[in-house]
Amino acid sequence: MSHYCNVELELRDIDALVLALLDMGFVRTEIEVHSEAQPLYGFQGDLRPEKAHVIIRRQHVGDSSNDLGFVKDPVTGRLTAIISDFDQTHVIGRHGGTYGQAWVDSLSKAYAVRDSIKLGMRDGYGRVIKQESRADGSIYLRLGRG
Amino acid sequence: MAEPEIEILISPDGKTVKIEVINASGAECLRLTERIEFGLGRVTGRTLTPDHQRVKERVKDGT
Repeated sequence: MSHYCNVELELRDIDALVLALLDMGFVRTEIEVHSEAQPLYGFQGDLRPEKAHVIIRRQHVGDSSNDLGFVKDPVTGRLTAIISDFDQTHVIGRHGGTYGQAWVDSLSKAYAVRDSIKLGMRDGYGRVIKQESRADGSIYLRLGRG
Repeated sequence: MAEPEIEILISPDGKTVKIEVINASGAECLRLTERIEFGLGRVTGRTLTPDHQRVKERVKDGT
């Protein structure tokens, strides 16, 4: 072993985000990906002020929910989640919880796993030797050549 | 020497990732993870372990 490094995760890769959303229980046909940001709609079909590049329409999010989206910053490339306050606190998704901080944390972890494997693969280290969820909520991943 | 492997630990809140290389040293070790590090986000710290330093010194001494 010769070095280690700490990275503050930034969601920037749409493909990895889509895979993470699949890991969170959505199916591919429920996830819209747009090169130009598209409008989001509220629970009554009302047009909301926000636009997003990755969208899950309200009927797939939960009862009485709003569209859920991710918008890409044109300068930094960072993807930011757009989740209504109501969906964060009241809407129960098929994962059995709301779309609050715990859901965002789980999505971030799923994204980190998917993006790590994708990036490792690019350099010839895409073979997953071990992946485990630990008791403290962290995820351990070991990648090898292949 | 065993094949290099990359260990990744994702924090419970998904905000930070720790990346460590095993079975590799020196510049090769840094090169191995550089693109993963910058691909995942913003590098906030890098720590070289004694193994890394030992290899560097051996190269300097020509041993």
